[in-house]
Amino acid sequence: MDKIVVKIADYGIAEAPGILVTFGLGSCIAVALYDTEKRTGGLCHIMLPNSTGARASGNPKKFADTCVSQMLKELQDGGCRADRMVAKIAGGAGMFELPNKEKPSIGERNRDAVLIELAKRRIPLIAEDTGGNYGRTVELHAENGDMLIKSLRSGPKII
Amino acid sequence: MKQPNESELDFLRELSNIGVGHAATALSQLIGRQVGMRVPNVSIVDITLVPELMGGSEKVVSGIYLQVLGDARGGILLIFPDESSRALVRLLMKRDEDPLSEMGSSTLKEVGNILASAYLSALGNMLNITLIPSIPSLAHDMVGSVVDIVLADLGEVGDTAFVFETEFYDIADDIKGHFFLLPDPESIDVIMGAIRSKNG
Repeated sequence: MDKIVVKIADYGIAEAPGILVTFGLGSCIAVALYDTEKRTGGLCHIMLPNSTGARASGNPKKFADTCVSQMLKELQDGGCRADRMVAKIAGGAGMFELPNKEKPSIGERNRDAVLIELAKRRIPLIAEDTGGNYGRTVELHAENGDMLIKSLRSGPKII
Repeated sequence: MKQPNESELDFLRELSNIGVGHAATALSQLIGRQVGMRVPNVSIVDITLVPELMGGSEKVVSGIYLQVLGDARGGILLIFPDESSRALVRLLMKRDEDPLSEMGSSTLKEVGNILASAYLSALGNMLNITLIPSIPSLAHDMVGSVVDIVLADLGEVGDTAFVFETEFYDIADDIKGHFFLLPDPESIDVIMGAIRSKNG
């Protein structure tokens, strides 16, 4: 079966037994929302924490807040319900050692922003694989809600 | 931000060709072998397409990232495919080293430092602006994960990246790379202003 590819700053939706995949996340985060009864899920690949900064503009799907809410709305329009949903996230690495270390990295800020969005919508985060200094490729299996994570550092793992 | 027009982009490409020429000379001296670099393309691209430009998100690369400080700010990202980064390390160290080993990574960072310094000083001299590279940092991983931090920086203010694609070529043709100058959007104005005053 062909996997549905989710590009950076985008999201995709699949029903069981579909598979969504997004490649090469560094500081970006993949957020999966999965309706456990309808066995339908969405996977997004966000780059930045939020769309409300003074300098922020452009494609709303690059930000955690606006992308998660657009994806959730499309899932709900398709018959999914937020109260049956669970969330899993992966990514948010710090790939480079940057000189100004006192600030939280973009990866950490992305993770925080995603957690806030999920909390606002009362969707429980049931698993995550975040941080570190390595890239990840992430799949969401709509069959059972499994998130498969591949990296060059270790074998594939399922959360 | 005023978008540069075609002739300004052409002029910028010419300046960059001179800049990378200096960088290539520095690299040739370092590895004791003639290396050339050219800039076939200066373009403004949708940031979400940058991983594709570099061969697809999962391709394994070494990325060396430096921040640009001074009159214009931004980042420089050098991307070497896995094989090329190993070939560079072999040329410099006279033995095989993993790009992530201490020797391998400091060698690649030094290559990045030399290329970026030569390029920025040439570009700065021609435009009468000061451009200084920060210390380099290295990642060796899937290209998507290596570039996304830079894209996120740019994405905070817009949806486009100003990309100088650079090819490395040498006699044996086993070293290839990409050189991305990623000015902050405000800094594009500084660079374009300097170009307009030069270009008349």
